[in-house]
Amino acid sequence: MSATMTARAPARRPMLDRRTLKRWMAGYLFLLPAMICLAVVSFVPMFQGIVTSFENFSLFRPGQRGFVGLDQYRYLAEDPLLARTFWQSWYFALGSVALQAILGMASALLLNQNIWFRGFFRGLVLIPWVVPGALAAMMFGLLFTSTGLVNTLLADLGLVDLGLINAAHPWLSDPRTSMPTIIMANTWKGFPFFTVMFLAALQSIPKDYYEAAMIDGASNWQSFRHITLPSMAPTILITTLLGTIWTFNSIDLIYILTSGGPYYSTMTLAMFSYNQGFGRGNIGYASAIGVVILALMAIITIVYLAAYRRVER
Amino acid sequence: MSMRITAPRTAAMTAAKHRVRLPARMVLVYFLLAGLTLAIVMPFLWLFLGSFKSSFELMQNQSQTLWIKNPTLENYQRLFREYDFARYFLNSTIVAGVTAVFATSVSAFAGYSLARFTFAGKSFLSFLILLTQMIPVIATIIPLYLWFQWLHLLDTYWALIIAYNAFAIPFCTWLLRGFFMEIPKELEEAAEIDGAGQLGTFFRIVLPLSLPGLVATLIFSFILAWQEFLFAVTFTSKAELRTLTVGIAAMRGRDIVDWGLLNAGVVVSTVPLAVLFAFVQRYLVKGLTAGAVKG
Amino acid sequence: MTGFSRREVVKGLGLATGAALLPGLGSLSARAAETVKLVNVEHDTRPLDNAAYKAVYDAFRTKHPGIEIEFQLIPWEQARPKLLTMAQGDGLPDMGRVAWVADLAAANAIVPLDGKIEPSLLDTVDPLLVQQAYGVGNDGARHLYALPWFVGTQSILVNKTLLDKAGITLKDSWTTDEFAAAAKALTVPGKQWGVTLDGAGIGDPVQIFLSAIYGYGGKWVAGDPQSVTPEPIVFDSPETAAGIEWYTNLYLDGSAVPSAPTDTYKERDANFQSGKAAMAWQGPWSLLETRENFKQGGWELASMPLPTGPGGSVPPSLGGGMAGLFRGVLKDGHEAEALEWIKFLSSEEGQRLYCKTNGMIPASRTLQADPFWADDPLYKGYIGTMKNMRQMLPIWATGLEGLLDDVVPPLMQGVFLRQLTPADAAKEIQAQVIRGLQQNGVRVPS
Repeated sequence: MSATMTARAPARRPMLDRRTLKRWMAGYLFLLPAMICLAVVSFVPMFQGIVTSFENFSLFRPGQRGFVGLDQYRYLAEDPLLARTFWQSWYFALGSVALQAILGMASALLLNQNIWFRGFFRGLVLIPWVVPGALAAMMFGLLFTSTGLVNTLLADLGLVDLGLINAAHPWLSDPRTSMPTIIMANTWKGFPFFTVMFLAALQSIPKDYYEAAMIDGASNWQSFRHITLPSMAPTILITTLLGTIWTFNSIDLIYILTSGGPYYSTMTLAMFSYNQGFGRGNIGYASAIGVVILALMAIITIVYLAAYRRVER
Repeated sequence: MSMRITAPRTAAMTAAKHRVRLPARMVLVYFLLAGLTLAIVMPFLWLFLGSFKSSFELMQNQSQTLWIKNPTLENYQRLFREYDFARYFLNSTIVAGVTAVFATSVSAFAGYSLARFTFAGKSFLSFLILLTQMIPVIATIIPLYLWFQWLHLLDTYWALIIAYNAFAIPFCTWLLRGFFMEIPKELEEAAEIDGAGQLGTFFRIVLPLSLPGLVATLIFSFILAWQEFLFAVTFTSKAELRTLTVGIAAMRGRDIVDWGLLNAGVVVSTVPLAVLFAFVQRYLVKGLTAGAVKG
Repeated sequence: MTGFSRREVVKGLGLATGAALLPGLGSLSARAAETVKLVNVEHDTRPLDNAAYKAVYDAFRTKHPGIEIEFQLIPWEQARPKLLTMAQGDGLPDMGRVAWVADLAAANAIVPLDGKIEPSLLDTVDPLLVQQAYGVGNDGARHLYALPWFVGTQSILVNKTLLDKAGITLKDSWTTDEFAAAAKALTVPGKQWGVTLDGAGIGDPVQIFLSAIYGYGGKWVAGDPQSVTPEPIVFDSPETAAGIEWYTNLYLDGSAVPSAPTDTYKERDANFQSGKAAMAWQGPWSLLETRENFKQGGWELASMPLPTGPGGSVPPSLGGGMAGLFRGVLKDGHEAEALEWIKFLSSEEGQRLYCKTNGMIPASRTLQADPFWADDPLYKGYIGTMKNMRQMLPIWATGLEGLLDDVVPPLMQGVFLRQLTPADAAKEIQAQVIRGLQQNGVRVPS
């Protein structure tokens, strides 16, 4: 027997009645394919990684792997590099994502216009994203050497004469400018992701909203602030969150350009973890650092989503 | 400087308004576009032009100028002759293509579930999905390697496809969740009142309306798989299975780097995708009847 | 339907007979061409390297037609991580380049060769190089793990044209002070630098750095580095600090390319090839190609031996090519065939074919006397330096090679950037190495 809509008693708490269960089932079933896919290839290795953080697994002593409790975490707490690496990780991730999001939004708005050869320009904007990370890194490495194209251009623009920049400045080899340079390279590499996502999100805003606003006499900036941004809020939130998680864990650029140097100035937690794991062979330690990253990302995700839910209301 | 934007226009919209505004606003738009293009393209342009210089010329002045002294196609010729580059391209295309389609499909269902349904444990599950992506690769690559070895999937397309999907699905699910949440609920409710089931609503209303989001997600997962390196180099060893990223890395020998070849390799890895996107981007426009439902 | 027509019966019998014979036919053909398939791993992937392997392989095939070898290339930067990952499971290749004997032995990735090869095979190779092929296995004992086939010692490559312009003559030997003076004389601010150094990356930066330190009398242990029992580490010393000071002064004086702190061997090579730097401290990996490129550009290539410091000659690193058996060969039982290959590769004939194709230096000293190398002035620096080889790293320190690749470059960069004094760097390197070894489970005596 199926309850029809009209026959429902409205005052009943919709806990485990048939229709709610059916609704729940739909939710679970839609989610099922993804969960199956992720079960073996994502959940299990992640779990294994977490377990390894409590072991003293070294690649150079494979026979002596064993449980050591919180030893790896103790080593981490005592590591003199921890504090600096921690702050630099945030600097790198948040700096990159902020610039990427801004550039992505600007380019999405631009590419949404009715311009000639729009397809060509949209194709063009994809290029930085598609270039394989290692090659983009090599390319930036060459551009930013002391005699590289960037310095030549800056000299031509007269910035050297103005005393703003040293001539032949080795951007990546100077600890003061190494991280900003990497952030720039990362911005170039990653902003098309935001462009594409924002472009897609811009499409779902009903144009009658804008028409109504124009009739009311709103300026373009006000339309942007009160229509565009709020309508795109879910996408903006998700892309910046995902971008942060992704960037925090990315090592491609850093590995090729500076490997965390010079003198630790571009060391991030993810790079640190990689060096400990594959460089020193200390997988247990690398896993412990990995779990710390996991915890940090989990915390900001929760904070982000809680803030969003409040904003939604 | 305030951003001047406009809502996407269809052909039926006021072309007259557009014409009147052309001088002031569009000039600014083109100016900014030029600036953006320059910033994006300049590093790549340098690589692109460099691919037409001989390796010797590149090494001489470390390619500090954009000018090509003796243009040559030998880099491209050598790329396909000395290295199995066509094969690498094919491998990358297959792996990335399958990943994109599969990941987007599975994530569409999952994302819709997270966007519209309510059920016990939803917050936990949606968080769990994303959690797997928060741990750095170093902690999971050895377990993953051992799993693939146990399943005899090493040195096959499957290892990469499975690994890339595992990486892409969490992100795609959350991305699509965001896109689905932007679709006005009234449309789905209208469909349900009309008697369509959840699947029906999903296929007939939600998917078509979220076409831009789906296309964006397809692109995202394709590119993710296309330019990934660590998994590709760890799970495959045979030369026939090399993807573009691994193939290019293998071209960088000890001590001597063939810059011309490398530049050509980058161009071949990048330009086809940009061209593809130029064609695919037309789907990044408002789909069908989104704006038609009023009240 | 019960009965079969006669034609059907004949057809059926024919098919059945064929089906019965088929496996037999299959095994017949298999017995006739019992090809053994082996996988050989390698990290040098230049076109000349591939050609060198091909030359050796072709000769090998005429001798052993039943052995087929697939050459798997793992790019240099990913090589150690990937091999160590493969060592966790069962995916190791059969044989190939053992670029890190100590680390791979500790990780149980390679197979001891004691008792499997005749010791006389190694007679023509410098004993010190042979010692490099020994490592400590999981049983705590020393074993022979690989057969040397080419040598990768360093020398100072010079752009002779630029040197002549600066009025510097090539000598048979020079001191560290003369080297520093030459580097300074060759520097034209903003345009050209005397030397290009690599302060980042794996392998080279550490090896060259340590060579400089040993040239000043610094060392890791006071006793024999070949001993299996742990000894106190004495790296932190005034001699070490002096060596660090000399090396980093090349940069601090402005004689080295400014991007040295983040330059890897790739950038170092590019700097030298483009004439940005007049000298480069590196191995013989690209001698032939560099000479060709220089010729096209109107430059002449030459080499000088490593200089001599207060503590003796600066020793070259003991790098090179060594062929060994990986654990994968135990899986499919083709150890004998794999041994045949590595023995051939490291034989005189194999060395000659390989090294004459790609310009590397053979491990056999008799072969080094071959006019191809002995009469070429370019190789004089490299071969001359070989007599100064020294064992530097103590072999009981498990994982030390990888540890040093992680510890040393940042601290070296610190000195380059004037944020660390040479004495502090020496102290810090020792402290971090000890800490790292302890974390890896190695007991370090104090």
